[in-house]
Amino acid sequence: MQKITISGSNIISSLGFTSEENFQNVLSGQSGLKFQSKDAPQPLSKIDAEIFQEQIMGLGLSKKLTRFEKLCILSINDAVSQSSIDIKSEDCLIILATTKGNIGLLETNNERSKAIHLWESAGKIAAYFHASNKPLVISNACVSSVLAQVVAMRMLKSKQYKNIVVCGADLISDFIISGFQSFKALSPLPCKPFDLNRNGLSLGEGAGTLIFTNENSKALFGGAAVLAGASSNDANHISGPSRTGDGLANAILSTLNQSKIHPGFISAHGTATPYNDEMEAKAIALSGLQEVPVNSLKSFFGHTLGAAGIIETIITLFAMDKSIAIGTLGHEEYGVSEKINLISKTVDLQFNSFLKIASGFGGCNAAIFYSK
Amino acid sequence: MHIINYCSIRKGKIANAERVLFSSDEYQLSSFLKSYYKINKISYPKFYKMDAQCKLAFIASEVLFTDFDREKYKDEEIAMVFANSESTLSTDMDYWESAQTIASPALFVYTLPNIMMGEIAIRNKIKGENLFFIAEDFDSNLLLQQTELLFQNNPTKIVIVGWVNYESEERYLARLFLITKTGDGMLFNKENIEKLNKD
Repeated sequence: MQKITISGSNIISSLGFTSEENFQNVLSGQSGLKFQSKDAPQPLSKIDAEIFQEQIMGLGLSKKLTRFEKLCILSINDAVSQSSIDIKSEDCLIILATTKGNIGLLETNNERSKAIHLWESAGKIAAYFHASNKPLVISNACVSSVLAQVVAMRMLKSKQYKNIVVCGADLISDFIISGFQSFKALSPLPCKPFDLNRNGLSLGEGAGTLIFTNENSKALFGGAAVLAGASSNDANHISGPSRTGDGLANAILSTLNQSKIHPGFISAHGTATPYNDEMEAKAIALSGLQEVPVNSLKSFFGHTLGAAGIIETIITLFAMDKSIAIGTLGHEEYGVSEKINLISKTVDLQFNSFLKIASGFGGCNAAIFYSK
Repeated sequence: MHIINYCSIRKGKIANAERVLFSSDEYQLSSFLKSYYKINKISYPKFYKMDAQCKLAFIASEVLFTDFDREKYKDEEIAMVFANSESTLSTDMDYWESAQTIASPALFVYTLPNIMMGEIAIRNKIKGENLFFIAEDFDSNLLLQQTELLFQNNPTKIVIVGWVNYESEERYLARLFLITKTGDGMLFNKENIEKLNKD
C-alpha cells in the first residue's frame, strides 16, 4: 500500500518561525514561557511580535487579514515552500484545525460578525493560496490538530486527494486567559508536567503545519509515514477527564489495532493539570505501554490548544529522525500514581515509531501513529 | 449506509421525517425545549446547566434515540460526526460579557462546539469516535464522506450525524441522523438527505 509521508512542515511559536528553529531551541532546553510583565500572574508562551510583523511585510499580506489568518498563512507558506506540491491543484486540500480562531475580535467588539466565523477565516486562507477546494475546518477542543491529522490520513488512504495541508493554530487572547483562570487551571509558574508539584497548565500560542502526501515525492523526516489514528469519548464529564483513563486508552488501542506495531515513543498531552496527567498515565498503563518512553512538550511551548497536537507531532518527528528523546522540561519529582516511563532529561534514544496523544474538554481523546 | 432514524428541530417544531412530533406557537427555543422536556417527563438535571445550543442538540438526540436498541451496541461502536456554522458564537458573547465582571467557568466550558457531543456521549454512554467540523452551510458531501470514513475504522457500527446550529432564540436548527453501516431502510445518500431536509 502507498505510504502517506510528509513533504513539508512548519512551526511558528515563541521558539521560532520554522520547524528546524523550534526543534533546535527545544533541543537546547529553551522554554518559550515568559512572564510578559513584572506583575504578570503567570508566564505565557507568545510569538515574537516584531519578527511576526517582518514576516507579514515580507509576504506583503493584506491589512484586512486578522492576526490569526496571517499566522496560518505564514505557517502554510513556509511548509509549502519546502515541498514540491501544487497547493492550487484540485488534488490538494487544506484542513484548518483550531479551537477559537479569531475569538480575540470579541474583545474590541462583542457582537456577531462574519469575520469571527471559522469558515470565513479558512476561506480567506484558502483564497490567499488560490486553493481549488473548499477547506475543511475542525474545531474539537484540544484534540483538534491530532484529529485533523487522523482525518487527513483517512482521506488520503481513500485516495480522495493526493496532498493534504493540515494547519493547526490558536492565539492567546484575554478571552482564553480569563476562561482558564476561571477554571483555576493556570499555573503561576511554568508548568511542570507529570510532576508531584504540578499545579496547572501554562498557555501558549502558535501554529503548526504538515503536508501529507500519498505521491512518490521527497519525504521529510527520513521517510516517516503516518500509519494509524483514532478518536474516542470518555462519556464521563464535560470539563474533567475520565478518572480511569479508559477513554484515552480506547483511542490508543484502536490506533494500535490498526498500526499492528508497538510504539517506540509516546508524545503525551501532559498539560500539567493534576487531573490530566493522572488520567493520561492511567490510560498509557491501561494500554499496556508502561515501558514505552514518554514525554510532554508543554513546558517548552505552553498549551497551544488547537495547535498543540501538530506542533508536538512535528517536534517528535524531528526527534525520531535524529534519534533523540526530548526530556520533559521542568519535571523534577515524579508525581502521578501510575508508573510510566517518563523521560525527564533529553537523551540519545533510537526509536522507529511513536504515538502522539491528546485529550480535551467534552471528554474527547485522539491518537495518531507514525513510523519510519 | 442506512438511515435508522432522523430528527429535526426548527421553527418551534420537532419532526421525524414528515411526522411532526411536537410543535408549539412558542418559537423561542429555550421555553419551547423546556416544554418538550416536561411533557415527555425527561429526568436529566444536567439539561438545565447546558447552554441553548447543547439543549438543542440534547433534545434532538433524545428524539433520535427513541425506539433505538442502544443495548445492541458496545459503547465504542457508536461514533459521532457533527458540524455547524456558528461554532459557539452566542455563548462566546455571553461568556465574554460575564468576563467583564466575573468570568464564569460554567459558561466558558460551553465555548467549545464539541461539548454537545460530550453531553450526548455522557447521557447515552457513547465512547466511539468524535469529530466536529465548522462549515458555512449544511454540507451533505462533508457529512457523507466523513461518515463513510468513520465506518472504515473497525469498531464503528453506528454513526450519529448532526448539524446543530444556534444563532438566537428565533434562529436555530438541528438535524440529526442515526446511521448504520449495514442493514435496511432508507439509504444515507445526498438525495435522501435533501429529501429529509425539506420538512
